Amino acid sequence: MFLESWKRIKKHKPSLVSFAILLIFTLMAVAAPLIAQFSYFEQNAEHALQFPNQTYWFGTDSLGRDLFSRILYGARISLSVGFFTAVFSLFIGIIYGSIAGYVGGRVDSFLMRVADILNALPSLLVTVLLMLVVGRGPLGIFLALGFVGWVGEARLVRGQVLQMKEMLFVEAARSLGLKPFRILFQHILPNILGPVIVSLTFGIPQNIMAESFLSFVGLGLEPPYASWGTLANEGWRAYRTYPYLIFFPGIVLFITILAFNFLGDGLRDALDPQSSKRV
Amino acid sequence: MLVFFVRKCFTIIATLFVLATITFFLLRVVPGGPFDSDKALPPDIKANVEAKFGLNKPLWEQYGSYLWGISRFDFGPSFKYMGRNVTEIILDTLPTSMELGVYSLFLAVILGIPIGVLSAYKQNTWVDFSSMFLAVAGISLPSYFVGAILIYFFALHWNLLPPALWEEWVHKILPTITLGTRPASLIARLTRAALLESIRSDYVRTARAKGVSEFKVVVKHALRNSLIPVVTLLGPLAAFILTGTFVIEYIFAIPGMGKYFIDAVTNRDYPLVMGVTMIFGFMLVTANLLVDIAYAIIDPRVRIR
Repeated sequence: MFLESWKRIKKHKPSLVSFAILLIFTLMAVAAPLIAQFSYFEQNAEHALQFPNQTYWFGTDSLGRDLFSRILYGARISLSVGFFTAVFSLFIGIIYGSIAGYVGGRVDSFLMRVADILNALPSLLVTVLLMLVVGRGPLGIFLALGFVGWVGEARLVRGQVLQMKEMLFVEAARSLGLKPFRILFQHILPNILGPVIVSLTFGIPQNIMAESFLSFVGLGLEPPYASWGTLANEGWRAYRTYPYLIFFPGIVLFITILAFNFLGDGLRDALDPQSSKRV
Repeated sequence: MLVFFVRKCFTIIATLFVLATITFFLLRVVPGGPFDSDKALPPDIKANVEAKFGLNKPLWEQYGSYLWGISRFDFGPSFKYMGRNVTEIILDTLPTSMELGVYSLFLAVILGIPIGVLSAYKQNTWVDFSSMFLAVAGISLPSYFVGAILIYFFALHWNLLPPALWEEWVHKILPTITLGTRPASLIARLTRAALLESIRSDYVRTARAKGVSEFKVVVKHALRNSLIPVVTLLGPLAAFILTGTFVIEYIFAIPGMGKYFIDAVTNRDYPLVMGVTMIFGFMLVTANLLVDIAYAIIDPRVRIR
């Protein structure tokens, strides 16, 4: 299955380019201390608010900090919040959704009623409220976004498990006397990996975006943490005279999300051909 | 239909109850009360203030009276805006947010559907590729970035439109475009995908064979069925637009509910936070209900379920 998918995705140029971009961004974020010529907190009042030039590629902010280095270090926070939140939501979603789908009956309708209710909550507001409780660091935003994010994944997994449950190979496994746990993990889950990977790819940019929105309006991360959203927030205050302060964090975020969306489209065509209707 | 409707209403009430409970208890476990901010109040005054707002009663009693208040749309007095009721503040600010949301949704629909139809009709041509590239870009653009660019060029550089506030119609153009970009792109993508499917179906072939004009085939036969997924998208879109308003209101300094929510969170103005959250939740579930009803009207096949 994966060989075939690889062949299909190789033909989809935008997703290959996107994957390359994301790989480069991730490597740059990991290697930030090696690449950045300045640290993200180093202040230099004499060089404050310089437009982009040879020393400061993306210019400097009002405290004379190098914007390029700050974006580089911000990538660490933005990318890891996005990635780990999506993985965490997926993890809970798989457990919840596969129990609902596999057990079925009353358990299923109860679990899904609960999921419906949680799904109807205004998630960004609930995230804000949760962050007031768990704190406004990367861990807090990770927990808060994860808490509201898993419901969609659970519904997806449940639907897939319901379909797989009726397949002949599952019936065969059951008639051989395998334990439900083993059927679920060895026979069903590997077969629904395609849609799950696709939804992970779309989940990451959603979480990156949500974090940056919250940080932008000042309800997200607090200093000393700097994500792309907090950089945009700082840039917003002075951008009428110094537009580059919001332009660079914005464009980097835009390219990242764009790359994830193209990659997701390509992966969906390759791994999950039936679902082209879902957007 | 009636059973369906009653069941939906029950879900709505349950949802709002859960939302009210979550909000209430979350805000009670938050460290730091509303009245110990800048300067410490003398203990007597503090006790008086807390008695006035009922904060000295046992938790379950506060919870009870809070629920009772909500059921009558009474969210109590605001902690920060002295002498004003949360309900008053909401009634003042909600119309602005609604107006912004409705304009953006309208823009999204009148832009998104034609673009989607066009690119499905011209599938695999440059029209299709470029409009779909634009749509993905539109989905990926953070709205504050769109807003910043629009303000920079239209307001500061070319001096055509005002950069902020919400008074005459000229003030409303930039916020509407900023908020509408993403929904328009989503609608365009979905319309295209749905139309591509229905354009290949038998009933469209039949219509063509009967000699129905090409325009009528697309608009009357194919599009009607493709609108079903678009209508289902309107539910999540309403959610997006509702929460989207609070970024847009922040950027353009629009005195809507979202802007008050941000202030209320920073000020620990509990009643206002809870009130705004409840109203947002209420509008969200109502939007979903309307979508479900519209769904049943457009597509007779789903009526019996």
